[in-house]
Amino acid sequence: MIRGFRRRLGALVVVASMVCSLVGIAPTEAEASGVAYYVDNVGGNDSNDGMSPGAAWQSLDKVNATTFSPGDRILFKADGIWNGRLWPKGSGADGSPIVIDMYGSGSKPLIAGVTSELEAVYLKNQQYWEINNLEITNRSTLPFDRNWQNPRGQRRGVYVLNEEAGILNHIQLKNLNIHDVDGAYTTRSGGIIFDSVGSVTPSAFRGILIDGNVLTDVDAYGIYIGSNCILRYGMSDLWPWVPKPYGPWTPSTDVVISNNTVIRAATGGIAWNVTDGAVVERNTVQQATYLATNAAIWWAYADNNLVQFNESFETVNGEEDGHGFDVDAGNIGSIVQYNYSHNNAGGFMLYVNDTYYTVDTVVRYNVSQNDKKSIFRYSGSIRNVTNHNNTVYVGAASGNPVMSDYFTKASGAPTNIRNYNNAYYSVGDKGWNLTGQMFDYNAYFGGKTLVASDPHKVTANPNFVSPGSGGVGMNTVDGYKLQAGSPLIGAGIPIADHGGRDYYGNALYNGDPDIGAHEYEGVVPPATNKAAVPYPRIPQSPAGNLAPRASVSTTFASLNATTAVIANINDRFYEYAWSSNQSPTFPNYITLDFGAEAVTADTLRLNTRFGQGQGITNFDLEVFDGSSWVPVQTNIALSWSSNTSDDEIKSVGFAETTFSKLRLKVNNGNRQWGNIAVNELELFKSPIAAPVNAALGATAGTTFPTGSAGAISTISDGKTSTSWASSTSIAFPQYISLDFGGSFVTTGRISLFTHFGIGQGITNVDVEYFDGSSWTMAASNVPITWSLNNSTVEEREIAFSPVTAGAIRLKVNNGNRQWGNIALNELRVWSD
Amino acid sequence: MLRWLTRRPLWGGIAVLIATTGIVMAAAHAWDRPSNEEEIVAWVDETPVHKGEFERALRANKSRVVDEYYVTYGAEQTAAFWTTAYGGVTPSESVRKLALETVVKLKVEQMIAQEQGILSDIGYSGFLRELESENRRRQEAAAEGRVVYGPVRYEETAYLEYVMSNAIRDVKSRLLEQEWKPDERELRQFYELNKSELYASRGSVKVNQLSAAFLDSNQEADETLKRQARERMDEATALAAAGTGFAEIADRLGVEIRLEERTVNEGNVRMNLRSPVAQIAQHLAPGETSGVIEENGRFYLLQRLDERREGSEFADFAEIKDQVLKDYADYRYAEYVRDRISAAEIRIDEAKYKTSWK
Repeated sequence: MIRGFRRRLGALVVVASMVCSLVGIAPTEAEASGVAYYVDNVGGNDSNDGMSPGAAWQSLDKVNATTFSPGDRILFKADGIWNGRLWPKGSGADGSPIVIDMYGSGSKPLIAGVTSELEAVYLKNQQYWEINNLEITNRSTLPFDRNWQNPRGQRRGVYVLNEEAGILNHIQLKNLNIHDVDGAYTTRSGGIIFDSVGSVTPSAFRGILIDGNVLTDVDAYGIYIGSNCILRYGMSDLWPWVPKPYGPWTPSTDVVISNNTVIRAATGGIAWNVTDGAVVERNTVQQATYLATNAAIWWAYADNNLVQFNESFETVNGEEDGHGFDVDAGNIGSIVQYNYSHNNAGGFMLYVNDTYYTVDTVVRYNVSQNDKKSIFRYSGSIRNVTNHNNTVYVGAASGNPVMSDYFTKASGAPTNIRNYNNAYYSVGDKGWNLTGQMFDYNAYFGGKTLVASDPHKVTANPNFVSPGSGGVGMNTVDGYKLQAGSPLIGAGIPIADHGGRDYYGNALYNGDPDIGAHEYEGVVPPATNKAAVPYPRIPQSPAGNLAPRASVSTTFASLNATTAVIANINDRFYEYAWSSNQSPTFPNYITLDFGAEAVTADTLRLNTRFGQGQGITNFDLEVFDGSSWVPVQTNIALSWSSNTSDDEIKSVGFAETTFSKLRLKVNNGNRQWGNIAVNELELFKSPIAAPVNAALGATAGTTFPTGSAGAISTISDGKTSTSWASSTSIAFPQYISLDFGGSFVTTGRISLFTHFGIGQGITNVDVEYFDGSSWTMAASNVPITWSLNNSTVEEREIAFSPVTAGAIRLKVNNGNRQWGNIALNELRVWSD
Repeated sequence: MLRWLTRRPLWGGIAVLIATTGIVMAAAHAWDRPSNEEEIVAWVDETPVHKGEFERALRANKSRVVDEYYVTYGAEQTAAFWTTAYGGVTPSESVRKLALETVVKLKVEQMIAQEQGILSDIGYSGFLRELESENRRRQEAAAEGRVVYGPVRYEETAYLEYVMSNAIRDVKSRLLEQEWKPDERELRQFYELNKSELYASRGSVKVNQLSAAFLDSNQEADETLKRQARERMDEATALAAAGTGFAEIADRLGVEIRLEERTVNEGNVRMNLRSPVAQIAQHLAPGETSGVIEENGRFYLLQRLDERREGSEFADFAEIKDQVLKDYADYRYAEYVRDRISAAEIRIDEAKYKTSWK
């Protein structure tokens, strides 16, 4: 049996830099300041040179027949009108984009699309363009329906197409007034559509800015960034209108969608797919889903999404979905914060997935008022959701919604949904489906909001300034601020990485954290230093890992071309592994190719799950010097100690080396099941920026008598699945210590991991450190509360001013003793 | 759903408007108005329509007229476009009529909102002041590095949309709480009258499904399990082809095979189109059995049960009462606005009206 590699298909993850190096549309230096061309539909003439208002061109045909150069400007006369499609040719250059704008005073020049063309404004395989200040329409006389093959066709206002062109740079669309775009119900129809088609050459954009546009009555979407480069982790199917075959997942990067107003989009207001690091902020989306089911703002197959300061309201169609925000399929990492969602037909927040897992979603400091149907909806394979410090008001206008519903789909079930510090205020609702969720430190008032199992619930009137009084605009929700004396003040639990501010801009925290989206600014008691809750995340490489910038290949035969591909070893995510076939021969090679880039590194790390069964045990490290492969270090032996699904990371230091290609000559491996495997290969130039658990390998000890369940050494073995337990007869205080064996560690943060915390968790500690001569206090009297009494391992984090320590100890002042003993699964010491 | 398909006034609607609202053409000097009288293009029940509002409406309707004349008459954008009569009407006349229709409706809706205490000032200068002050506030905040919620700068039309959609929502909810508050009987009556248009169930398809997972305990796809699952499903397919019922197949093949009834709601286009199972289910004839389908870690075999076609049933009143109430409010509001427009006295400063566009 082959263990430890991950389910879903083959992740041919290709990072942007690699794609760029493959297809190489290299930015050219700006060689000219460019020419301004004027276009005047009434006073112009196509036989003019176009280079002054008095000698303007007249027609779109003239513009479309021209190949423009970097730095050129195409200026349309204010109040001018053109029927047809605008498709100017050429590309700008880095620092010298080609700019479209208006001249003169009056209305924005109107480009009225015609039915013989699908788009009113078009760019295809072009880059370095900025399009500003146009009015754009694209009507059809045919009605909208739900048939994606509607004869209207996939009509667009602005269509920016990258078809097999690799990476295209810098496309900016600003201050456009786009309205009455009548397209069919697909993701390739609507006001502004970016589309990457990379069946042969992985294709995407670098540098998309969509800012300050107004989009009104647009079918199907307001703004959509789409791609057919979606393949990773088993993603196998998309909508029928997306061109096949699909390409490897290739994200668009440096994507910003800001300050747009989207009114009456037929389906979704703003949506983006296959991006990394997209920022979507300060948009207003109103009356989305005007004609068909969808969600107002949603994203899919995208990593590291930031969605903030948006106002999403009055979605029309709540028949299916219809939420203000939707973290949709296959997203890895999303933060949804400081948004105002109100009066949406479907609800506030939808978490839905029917492909590989959508993971690591944080929804914090948002206000939801009078959203309807299902305030929160969890559906399909969703893992790791943290909702904290949201204020949810369910008024009469909400019409008796469910607080949350829950659906298991073929893709899987939503798991690990955590709710902390939220304020739920209701005048009438149908309550929660609690499956898959845990609640702690939330406030419940009215309706059926109360979650009885919340260990630290607040049920008194929250004493908001004026609940339900939110109106037009994001600055109208002061009614959800807390008044002096509110029971929500100081009643929350600290969140380890909370974002630094509340909805209203107040710094966090003022004393102990408050519940809800407001952190009270008045005088409060000092913080009691409660241990903080970190966000659950799927494990991934720390920052500074150079390997994802490379293209990876191997001379080993892989087990298959779908779930076990070599690209999984430099995708940053520990979940997904490469596996050789079941009869590998030695030696063979694993190569990282950085293309033209020279990187400098001195540390290589290999992560393998089930390492005793399938880990690489001996390899040489070689770099390419331009003509031949040169050994850096040979005969590197690895001894794997684990044969479980825990991550086991082996670090190999070597002399600092600069290279563009590096390879592992793999000489041997464990082959319990025939194959060898690697979950992740990482390269760093030390120091490694990310937090390191300095407790790994430290010597653990305790003055508590130990019971029969597990030895104290388990608290520093790197595994949260193993646990130490005291005997059932103990007295407080006693110590639990970690000794770093003569070396010193700088740390400001430790984490305790415990399962069955309500029954056996440590509840109060002092943190002390050994400075080389004596024990000193780092944090005193820190209360720790646990929310669960089952086998789920909870983490609690304790932060303090950084110290340099030869040893760390917990003076355990108290603990939960449902069964007499206390227990600790893992104690981690984070050194930065 | 038909109800959302008529959001834009139909072309030619202006004729109806004029016929039903009794627009009175008159000279500007006939009224005693405040000092900015020269800026007033029309009055709706004594509420002035400012030139700026009318121009905004002209701009908003410009592209529609351009499209209409291009599609209908092949009219190109020349200097003479706006003043050339096509089919007896110039584009200028058309755009003015549409603009008038737009502003009259806006004024009536603003007047209603004012009567309901939701908007205090419905004059154009007040609106502009509010827009300017809102934009100034936003720009100052942005300049000082403070967070701006929503756009840094509102464009006039977008801000109007924003303000009016909120105002209309509040008007509806206020009237619904008081004058229009329907009792159960009225609401049901509304439901009965409109159910064929509004509450016909979206079609749905019911299938029996046999499925076998090939995921290990970590929810990971396992090649060996996949091969085994496929063999099971092939066996199931053979049994079904021989006439064995799904329940019996499930019994025979044991616990790894799951038998479930599944309903595919045809309304959920976005989801169904990404689900091979849903797509195939929709295309089976009643009683027909599918081939083996792979979807996200399981193999499926489907057999179509009954069918519920679009329009053959209606959503249950009790279940969709909230939606009915919302539709009722929308209906009452639309009717109210229509009535108020019909009853309104609309006077136009003909000279300004006619010179308001090329």
